[in-house]
Amino acid sequence: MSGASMKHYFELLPVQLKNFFKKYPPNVKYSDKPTLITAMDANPFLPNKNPATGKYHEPKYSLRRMSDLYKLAYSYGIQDLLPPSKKLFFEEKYENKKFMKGVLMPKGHKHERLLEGKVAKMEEAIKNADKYILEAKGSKYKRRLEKKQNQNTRSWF
Amino acid sequence: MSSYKHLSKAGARFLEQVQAKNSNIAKQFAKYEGLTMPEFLKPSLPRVEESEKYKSVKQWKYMPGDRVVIVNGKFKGNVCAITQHDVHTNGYILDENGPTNTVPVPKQFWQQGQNSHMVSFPVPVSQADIKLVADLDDPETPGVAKTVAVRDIEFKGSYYDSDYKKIMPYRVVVGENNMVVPWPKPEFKPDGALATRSEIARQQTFWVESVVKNPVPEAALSTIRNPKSKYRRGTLTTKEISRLVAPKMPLTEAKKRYIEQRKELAALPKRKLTDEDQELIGDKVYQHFKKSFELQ
Repeated sequence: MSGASMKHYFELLPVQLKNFFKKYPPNVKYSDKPTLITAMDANPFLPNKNPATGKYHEPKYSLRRMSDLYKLAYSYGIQDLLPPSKKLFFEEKYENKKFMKGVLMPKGHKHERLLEGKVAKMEEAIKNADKYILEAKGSKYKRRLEKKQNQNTRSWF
Repeated sequence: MSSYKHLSKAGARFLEQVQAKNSNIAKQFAKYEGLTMPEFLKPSLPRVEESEKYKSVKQWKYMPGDRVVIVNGKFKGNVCAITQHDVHTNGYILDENGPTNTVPVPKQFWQQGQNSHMVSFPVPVSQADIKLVADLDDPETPGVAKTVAVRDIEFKGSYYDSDYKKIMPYRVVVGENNMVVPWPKPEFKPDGALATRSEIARQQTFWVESVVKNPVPEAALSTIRNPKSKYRRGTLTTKEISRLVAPKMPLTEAKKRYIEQRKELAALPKRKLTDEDQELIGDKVYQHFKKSFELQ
Protein backbone atom coordinates (compact mmCIF):
# COMPACT_ATOMS: atom_id res chain seq x y z
CA MET A 1 0.00 0.00 0.00
CA SER A 2 2.83 2.35 0.91
CA GLY A 3 4.16 2.01 -2.63
CA ALA A 4 1.11 3.86 -3.96
CA SER A 5 0.72 7.61 -3.62
CA MET A 6 0.04 8.73 -0.06
CA LYS A 7 -0.55 12.29 -1.19
CA HIS A 8 -4.30 12.07 -0.91
CA TYR A 9 -3.97 11.34 2.82
CA PHE A 10 -2.35 14.73 3.13
CA GLU A 11 -5.36 16.24 1.40
CA LEU A 12 -7.64 14.65 4.01
CA LEU A 13 -5.95 16.51 6.90
CA PRO A 14 -7.79 19.39 8.63
CA VAL A 15 -7.32 22.74 6.94
CA GLN A 16 -5.33 24.20 9.87
CA LEU A 17 -2.70 21.49 9.56
CA LYS A 18 -2.57 21.67 5.77
CA ASN A 19 -2.10 25.43 5.89
CA PHE A 20 0.59 25.11 8.51
CA PHE A 21 2.53 22.55 6.51
CA LYS A 22 2.21 24.70 3.39
CA LYS A 23 3.83 27.58 5.26
CA TYR A 24 6.30 25.48 7.26
CA PRO A 25 6.99 22.28 5.29
CA PRO A 26 8.78 19.44 7.12
CA ASN A 27 11.70 19.42 4.62
CA VAL A 28 13.27 22.33 6.56
CA LYS A 29 15.02 21.53 9.81
CA TYR A 30 13.75 24.30 12.04
CA SER A 31 15.97 25.85 14.63
CA ASP A 32 15.32 24.93 18.24
CA LYS A 33 16.67 28.30 19.35
CA PRO A 34 15.55 31.83 18.44
CA THR A 35 17.27 33.04 15.24
CA LEU A 36 16.82 35.89 12.76
CA ILE A 37 13.49 36.40 11.06
CA THR A 38 15.30 36.30 7.72
CA ALA A 39 16.68 32.83 8.41
CA MET A 40 15.18 29.97 6.44
CA ASP A 41 14.99 27.79 9.54
CA ALA A 42 13.32 30.43 11.73
CA ASN A 43 11.08 28.53 14.12
CA PRO A 44 7.50 29.96 14.04
CA PHE A 45 6.95 28.80 17.63
CA LEU A 46 9.84 30.91 18.97
CA PRO A 47 10.51 34.66 19.11
CA ASN A 48 12.96 35.65 16.35
CA LYS A 49 15.12 38.72 16.00
CA ASN A 50 14.72 41.40 13.36
CA PRO A 51 18.28 42.23 12.17
CA ALA A 52 17.22 45.70 10.96
CA THR A 53 15.79 46.91 14.26
CA GLY A 54 17.51 44.51 16.66
CA LYS A 55 14.19 43.75 18.25
CA TYR A 56 12.55 40.40 18.79
CA HIS A 57 9.29 39.63 17.02
CA GLU A 58 6.62 37.70 18.86
CA PRO A 59 6.38 34.04 17.80
CA LYS A 60 4.32 33.59 14.62
CA TYR A 61 2.22 31.03 16.53
CA SER A 62 1.38 31.63 20.18
CA LEU A 63 1.74 28.82 22.71
CA ARG A 64 -2.03 28.35 22.63
CA ARG A 65 -2.17 28.06 18.84
CA MET A 66 0.92 25.84 18.88
CA SER A 67 -0.82 23.55 21.39
CA ASP A 68 -3.90 23.40 19.20
CA LEU A 69 -1.77 22.47 16.19
CA TYR A 70 0.24 19.91 18.18
CA LYS A 71 -2.84 18.17 19.57
CA LEU A 72 -4.43 18.11 16.13
CA ALA A 73 -1.23 16.73 14.59
CA TYR A 74 -0.98 14.20 17.43
CA SER A 75 -4.38 12.81 16.56
CA TYR A 76 -3.01 12.08 13.06
CA GLY A 77 0.38 10.87 14.31
CA ILE A 78 2.38 13.61 12.58
CA GLN A 79 3.41 15.67 15.62
CA ASP A 80 7.08 14.90 14.95
CA LEU A 81 6.92 16.83 11.67
CA LEU A 82 6.13 20.09 13.46
CA PRO A 83 8.98 22.49 14.29
CA PRO A 84 10.57 21.77 17.68
CA SER A 85 9.19 23.34 20.81
CA LYS A 86 9.96 23.19 24.51
CA LYS A 87 6.37 22.66 25.45
CA LEU A 88 5.55 19.08 26.47
CA PHE A 89 2.31 17.19 25.94
CA PHE A 90 0.55 14.03 27.15
CA GLU A 91 2.84 11.22 28.50
CA GLU A 92 5.97 13.24 27.96
CA LYS A 93 4.52 16.10 29.97
CA TYR A 94 3.32 13.74 32.69
CA GLU A 95 6.68 11.96 32.95
CA ASN A 96 8.72 15.13 32.99
CA LYS A 97 6.43 16.86 35.37
CA LYS A 98 8.33 18.85 37.97
CA PHE A 99 6.53 18.58 41.25
CA MET A 100 6.53 21.40 43.69
CA LYS A 101 8.76 21.19 46.73
CA GLY A 102 5.72 21.32 48.96
CA VAL A 103 4.11 18.41 47.16
CA LEU A 104 7.24 16.27 47.33
CA MET A 105 8.24 17.28 50.87
CA PRO A 106 5.21 18.57 52.68
CA LYS A 107 6.12 20.72 55.62
CA GLY A 108 3.42 19.41 57.96
CA HIS A 109 1.96 20.93 61.10
CA LYS A 110 4.22 21.89 63.95
CA HIS A 111 3.05 19.05 66.19
CA GLU A 112 3.82 16.64 63.35
CA ARG A 113 7.29 18.10 62.86
CA LEU A 114 8.09 17.92 66.61
CA LEU A 115 6.56 14.48 67.20
CA GLU A 116 9.76 12.49 66.53
CA GLY A 117 11.87 14.35 69.10
CA LYS A 118 9.05 14.28 71.56
CA VAL A 119 8.67 10.48 71.31
CA ALA A 120 12.46 9.98 71.69
CA LYS A 121 12.45 12.19 74.76
CA MET A 122 9.51 10.28 76.23
CA GLU A 123 11.19 6.90 75.62
CA GLU A 124 14.38 8.13 77.26
CA ALA A 125 12.44 9.39 80.26
CA ILE A 126 10.46 6.10 80.66
CA LYS A 127 13.67 4.11 80.50
CA ASN A 128 15.25 6.11 83.32
CA ALA A 129 12.06 6.73 85.27
CA ASP A 130 13.24 5.03 88.56
CA LYS A 131 16.47 6.95 88.55
CA TYR A 132 14.73 10.29 88.07
CA ILE A 133 12.16 9.49 90.81
CA LEU A 134 14.87 8.59 93.25
CA GLU A 135 16.77 11.75 92.39
CA ALA A 136 13.69 13.74 93.07
CA LYS A 137 12.45 12.00 96.18
CA GLY A 138 15.80 11.51 97.97
CA SER A 139 17.53 8.73 99.94
CA LYS A 140 14.70 8.14 102.42
CA TYR A 141 12.41 7.05 99.67
CA LYS A 142 15.21 4.83 98.33
CA ARG A 143 15.53 3.08 101.65
CA ARG A 144 11.79 2.64 101.92
CA LEU A 145 11.68 1.23 98.43
CA GLU A 146 14.46 -1.20 99.20
CA LYS A 147 12.68 -2.22 102.39
CA LYS A 148 9.47 -2.88 100.49
CA GLN A 149 11.33 -4.96 97.93
CA ASN A 150 12.94 -6.94 100.71
CA GLN A 151 9.56 -7.59 102.33
CA ASN A 152 8.21 -9.17 99.19
CA THR A 153 11.20 -11.40 98.54
CA ARG A 154 11.14 -14.88 100.05
CA SER A 155 14.17 -16.11 101.84
CA TRP A 156 15.17 -19.11 103.96
CA PHE A 157 15.58 -16.96 106.98
CA MET B 1 -23.52 89.67 24.19
CA SER B 2 -20.41 88.01 22.82
CA SER B 3 -20.25 84.28 23.39
CA TYR B 4 -18.07 81.32 22.55
CA LYS B 5 -21.03 79.01 21.90
CA HIS B 6 -19.61 78.12 18.49
CA LEU B 7 -16.41 76.88 20.18
CA SER B 8 -17.51 75.37 23.45
CA LYS B 9 -20.58 74.11 25.25
CA ALA B 10 -19.25 75.31 28.60
CA GLY B 11 -21.99 77.07 30.53
CA ALA B 12 -24.59 76.25 27.87
CA ARG B 13 -26.97 74.69 30.38
CA PHE B 14 -26.91 77.81 32.54
CA LEU B 15 -27.52 80.06 29.54
CA GLU B 16 -30.43 77.84 28.52
CA GLN B 17 -31.95 78.35 31.95
CA VAL B 18 -31.44 82.09 31.74
CA GLN B 19 -33.16 82.20 28.37
CA ALA B 20 -36.01 79.91 29.40
CA LYS B 21 -39.05 82.08 29.98
CA ASN B 22 -40.35 80.95 33.34
CA SER B 23 -37.21 79.59 34.96
CA ASN B 24 -36.32 80.81 38.43
CA ILE B 25 -32.98 82.13 37.21
CA ALA B 26 -34.65 84.17 34.48
CA LYS B 27 -37.08 85.64 37.02
CA GLN B 28 -34.23 86.49 39.37
CA PHE B 29 -32.29 88.13 36.55
CA ALA B 30 -35.34 90.18 35.57
CA LYS B 31 -35.79 91.26 39.18
CA TYR B 32 -32.18 92.39 39.55
CA GLU B 33 -32.31 94.09 36.16
CA GLY B 34 -35.25 96.13 37.42
CA LEU B 35 -33.46 96.95 40.67
CA THR B 36 -30.09 97.85 39.23
CA MET B 37 -30.93 99.48 35.90
CA PRO B 38 -30.96 103.29 35.95
CA GLU B 39 -34.38 104.81 35.59
CA PHE B 40 -33.69 106.43 32.21
CA LEU B 41 -32.76 103.02 30.72
CA LYS B 42 -35.62 101.04 32.18
CA PRO B 43 -38.26 100.03 29.61
CA SER B 44 -41.84 100.64 30.77
CA LEU B 45 -43.14 97.65 28.80
CA PRO B 46 -41.55 94.26 29.19
CA ARG B 47 -39.23 93.20 26.40
CA VAL B 48 -40.67 90.51 24.15
CA GLU B 49 -39.07 87.36 22.83
CA GLU B 50 -37.59 87.41 19.35
CA SER B 51 -40.28 85.02 18.13
CA GLU B 52 -43.07 87.20 19.55
CA LYS B 53 -41.90 90.46 18.02
CA TYR B 54 -44.30 92.01 15.49
CA LYS B 55 -43.02 91.73 11.97
CA SER B 56 -45.89 92.37 9.56
CA VAL B 57 -48.23 95.29 9.05
CA LYS B 58 -51.16 93.07 10.00
CA GLN B 59 -49.58 92.43 13.39
CA TRP B 60 -48.82 96.08 14.05
CA LYS B 61 -52.33 97.23 12.87
CA TYR B 62 -51.38 100.89 13.43
CA MET B 63 -48.55 102.56 11.57
CA PRO B 64 -46.58 105.71 12.42
CA GLY B 65 -48.76 108.67 11.45
CA ASP B 66 -51.98 107.02 12.64
CA ARG B 67 -54.06 108.86 15.20
CA VAL B 68 -55.06 106.79 18.22
CA VAL B 69 -56.95 107.34 21.43
CA ILE B 70 -55.64 106.04 24.73
CA VAL B 71 -58.26 103.90 26.41
CA ASN B 72 -56.53 102.86 29.63
CA GLY B 73 -54.48 104.50 32.36
CA LYS B 74 -53.82 108.05 33.47
CA PHE B 75 -53.92 109.42 29.92
CA LYS B 76 -57.25 107.82 29.04
CA GLY B 77 -59.09 109.80 26.38
CA ASN B 78 -56.01 111.55 24.94
CA VAL B 79 -55.85 111.47 21.18
CA CYS B 80 -52.27 111.20 19.96
CA ALA B 81 -50.38 110.38 16.80
CA ILE B 82 -48.06 107.41 16.62
CA THR B 83 -44.52 108.61 15.99
CA GLN B 84 -42.76 105.27 15.80
CA HIS B 85 -42.92 101.58 16.66
CA ASP B 86 -40.90 100.22 19.57
CA VAL B 87 -39.81 96.87 18.13
CA HIS B 88 -38.30 95.59 21.38
CA THR B 89 -41.54 95.79 23.34
CA ASN B 90 -44.17 95.65 20.57
CA GLY B 91 -45.16 99.10 21.78
CA TYR B 92 -46.11 102.39 20.11
CA ILE B 93 -44.29 105.64 20.85
CA LEU B 94 -46.83 108.46 20.86
CA ASP B 95 -46.42 112.19 20.48
CA GLU B 96 -46.41 114.74 23.31
CA ASN B 97 -50.06 114.01 24.23
CA GLY B 98 -49.11 110.49 25.19
CA PRO B 99 -47.63 109.26 28.44
CA THR B 100 -44.11 110.38 29.26
CA ASN B 101 -41.68 109.57 32.00
CA THR B 102 -39.51 112.30 33.50
CA VAL B 103 -36.30 110.77 34.75
CA PRO B 104 -32.83 112.03 35.71
CA VAL B 105 -30.17 111.50 33.09
CA PRO B 106 -26.43 111.50 33.88
CA LYS B 107 -24.45 114.29 32.29
CA GLN B 108 -22.53 112.04 29.89
CA PHE B 109 -25.80 111.22 28.15
CA TRP B 110 -26.95 114.82 27.74
CA GLN B 111 -28.01 115.94 24.31
CA GLN B 112 -26.97 119.22 22.73
CA GLY B 113 -28.86 122.14 24.20
CA GLN B 114 -29.93 120.22 27.30
CA ASN B 115 -29.74 122.22 30.51
CA SER B 116 -31.45 120.01 33.05
CA HIS B 117 -30.90 116.59 34.52
CA MET B 118 -34.58 115.81 34.24
CA VAL B 119 -35.71 114.69 30.80
CA SER B 120 -39.14 113.55 29.67
CA PHE B 121 -39.08 110.38 27.61
CA PRO B 122 -42.13 109.11 25.76
CA VAL B 123 -43.29 105.80 27.19
CA PRO B 124 -44.26 103.03 24.74
CA VAL B 125 -47.92 102.02 24.88
CA SER B 126 -49.17 98.55 24.16
CA GLN B 127 -51.65 97.72 21.42
CA ALA B 128 -54.36 96.87 23.95
CA ASP B 129 -54.26 100.40 25.42
CA ILE B 130 -55.03 102.29 22.21
CA LYS B 131 -57.76 102.41 19.60
CA LEU B 132 -57.58 103.83 16.11
CA VAL B 133 -59.14 107.20 15.46
CA ALA B 134 -60.52 107.61 11.93
CA ASP B 135 -62.46 110.20 9.92
CA LEU B 136 -65.42 108.32 8.50
CA ASP B 137 -68.37 109.54 6.42
CA ASP B 138 -71.31 110.33 8.64
CA PRO B 139 -74.35 108.46 7.26
CA GLU B 140 -76.70 111.07 8.76
CA THR B 141 -75.01 114.03 7.11
CA PRO B 142 -73.42 112.77 3.92
CA GLY B 143 -70.31 114.55 2.73
CA VAL B 144 -69.24 115.49 6.23
CA ALA B 145 -66.59 113.39 7.88
CA LYS B 146 -66.99 112.30 11.48
CA THR B 147 -64.07 111.55 13.74
CA VAL B 148 -64.63 108.29 15.59
CA ALA B 149 -62.63 105.79 17.62
CA VAL B 150 -62.77 102.45 15.84
CA ARG B 151 -63.60 99.51 18.11
CA ASP B 152 -61.34 97.22 16.15
CA ILE B 153 -60.08 96.73 12.63
CA GLU B 154 -59.73 93.77 10.32
CA PHE B 155 -58.02 93.20 6.97
CA LYS B 156 -59.84 92.51 3.74
CA GLY B 157 -58.08 92.11 0.41
CA SER B 158 -54.95 93.92 -0.64
CA TYR B 159 -53.66 96.54 -3.07
CA TYR B 160 -50.41 98.10 -4.14
CA ASP B 161 -49.67 101.12 -2.02
CA SER B 162 -47.47 103.56 -3.88
CA ASP B 163 -46.54 105.39 -0.69
CA TYR B 164 -45.28 102.31 1.09
CA LYS B 165 -44.14 100.87 -2.28
CA LYS B 166 -45.50 97.41 -1.47
CA ILE B 167 -48.70 95.37 -1.31
CA MET B 168 -50.76 96.50 1.70
CA PRO B 169 -54.02 95.00 3.04
CA TYR B 170 -57.20 97.06 3.14
CA ARG B 171 -57.89 98.12 6.71
CA VAL B 172 -61.63 98.06 7.45
CA VAL B 173 -63.77 98.56 10.54
CA VAL B 174 -64.58 95.17 11.98
CA GLY B 175 -67.93 93.99 10.63
CA GLU B 176 -68.20 96.95 8.21
CA ASN B 177 -66.53 95.87 4.99
CA ASN B 178 -67.14 99.17 3.17
CA MET B 179 -65.68 101.37 5.91
CA VAL B 180 -62.06 101.43 4.80
CA VAL B 181 -59.61 103.25 7.06
CA PRO B 182 -56.72 104.27 4.82
CA TRP B 183 -53.13 103.77 5.93
CA PRO B 184 -51.34 106.98 6.93
CA LYS B 185 -48.82 108.45 4.56
CA PRO B 186 -45.37 107.39 5.65
CA GLU B 187 -42.80 110.03 6.41
CA PHE B 188 -41.08 111.23 3.26
CA LYS B 189 -37.61 109.78 2.84
CA PRO B 190 -35.38 111.61 0.33
CA ASP B 191 -33.57 109.42 -2.20
CA GLY B 192 -29.89 108.75 -1.63
CA ALA B 193 -27.13 110.10 -3.85
CA LEU B 194 -26.71 106.73 -5.60
CA ALA B 195 -30.42 106.13 -6.17
CA THR B 196 -31.82 105.76 -9.70
CA ARG B 197 -34.89 107.82 -10.44
CA SER B 198 -37.99 105.68 -10.88
CA GLU B 199 -38.79 107.04 -14.36
CA ILE B 200 -35.32 106.04 -15.57
CA ALA B 201 -35.55 102.65 -13.92
CA ARG B 202 -38.89 101.99 -15.61
CA GLN B 203 -37.77 103.14 -19.07
CA GLN B 204 -37.96 100.30 -21.60
CA THR B 205 -34.69 99.87 -23.47
CA PHE B 206 -35.15 96.51 -25.15
CA TRP B 207 -37.79 95.57 -27.69
CA VAL B 208 -38.40 91.99 -28.80
CA GLU B 209 -38.10 91.82 -32.59
CA SER B 210 -38.56 88.12 -33.17
CA VAL B 211 -39.46 85.12 -31.04
CA VAL B 212 -37.39 82.89 -33.38
CA LYS B 213 -34.24 84.90 -33.77
CA ASN B 214 -31.88 85.22 -30.81
CA PRO B 215 -31.39 88.93 -30.03
CA VAL B 216 -27.80 88.24 -29.06
CA PRO B 217 -25.58 87.58 -32.13
CA GLU B 218 -23.90 84.17 -32.29
CA ALA B 219 -20.44 85.73 -32.14
CA ALA B 220 -21.31 87.77 -29.06
CA LEU B 221 -22.42 84.76 -27.03
CA SER B 222 -18.88 83.88 -26.01
CA THR B 223 -18.45 87.36 -24.56
CA ILE B 224 -21.45 87.05 -22.27
CA ARG B 225 -21.11 83.33 -21.51
CA ASN B 226 -17.58 82.14 -20.84
CA PRO B 227 -17.42 78.81 -22.69
CA LYS B 228 -14.25 77.94 -20.81
CA SER B 229 -15.79 78.55 -17.40
CA LYS B 230 -14.81 75.91 -14.89
CA TYR B 231 -18.48 75.55 -14.02
CA ARG B 232 -19.37 74.86 -17.67
CA ARG B 233 -16.38 72.66 -18.47
CA GLY B 234 -17.47 69.67 -16.34
CA THR B 235 -13.91 68.39 -15.92
CA LEU B 236 -11.20 69.27 -13.47
CA THR B 237 -7.73 70.28 -14.53
CA THR B 238 -4.68 68.77 -12.86
CA LYS B 239 -4.07 72.07 -11.13
CA GLU B 240 -7.58 72.05 -9.66
CA ILE B 241 -7.23 68.42 -8.62
CA SER B 242 -3.94 69.20 -6.91
CA ARG B 243 -5.68 71.98 -5.00
CA LEU B 244 -8.56 69.73 -3.96
CA VAL B 245 -6.52 66.66 -2.98
CA ALA B 246 -4.48 66.83 0.20
CA PRO B 247 -0.77 66.20 -0.33
CA LYS B 248 0.64 62.84 0.72
CA MET B 249 2.52 62.86 3.98
CA PRO B 250 6.23 62.17 3.43
CA LEU B 251 7.39 58.82 4.84
CA THR B 252 9.48 58.79 7.97
CA GLU B 253 12.95 57.24 7.93
CA ALA B 254 11.71 54.31 10.03
CA LYS B 255 8.80 53.71 7.67
CA LYS B 256 11.16 53.78 4.67
CA ARG B 257 13.43 51.24 6.34
CA TYR B 258 10.40 49.11 7.17
CA ILE B 259 9.22 49.13 3.55
CA GLU B 260 12.75 48.33 2.39
CA GLN B 261 12.90 45.39 4.76
CA ARG B 262 9.46 44.16 3.68
CA LYS B 263 10.80 44.09 0.11
CA GLU B 264 13.92 42.20 1.20
CA LEU B 265 11.84 39.67 3.10
CA ALA B 266 9.56 39.23 0.12
CA ALA B 267 12.58 38.64 -2.12
CA LEU B 268 13.95 35.84 0.13
CA PRO B 269 13.56 32.27 -1.16
CA LYS B 270 10.30 30.71 -0.08
CA ARG B 271 9.81 27.45 1.77
CA LYS B 272 7.93 25.05 -0.45
CA LEU B 273 5.81 22.08 0.42
CA THR B 274 7.11 19.48 -2.04
CA ASP B 275 5.40 16.33 -3.26
CA GLU B 276 7.82 14.29 -1.15
CA ASP B 277 6.69 16.20 1.93
CA GLN B 278 3.08 15.45 1.13
CA GLU B 279 3.98 11.81 0.55
CA LEU B 280 5.80 11.74 3.87
CA ILE B 281 2.92 13.29 5.78
CA GLY B 282 0.39 11.08 4.03
CA ASP B 283 2.45 7.99 4.80
CA LYS B 284 2.72 8.93 8.46
CA VAL B 285 -1.03 9.48 8.67
CA TYR B 286 -1.65 6.14 6.97
CA GLN B 287 0.73 4.32 9.33
CA HIS B 288 -0.84 5.99 12.34
CA PHE B 289 -4.37 4.92 11.46
CA LYS B 290 -3.24 1.48 10.36
CA LYS B 291 -1.60 0.95 13.74
CA SER B 292 -4.64 2.16 15.65
CA PHE B 293 -6.98 -0.13 13.64
CA GLU B 294 -4.71 -3.09 14.26
CA LEU B 295 -4.82 -2.46 17.99
CA GLN B 296 -8.62 -2.58 18.03
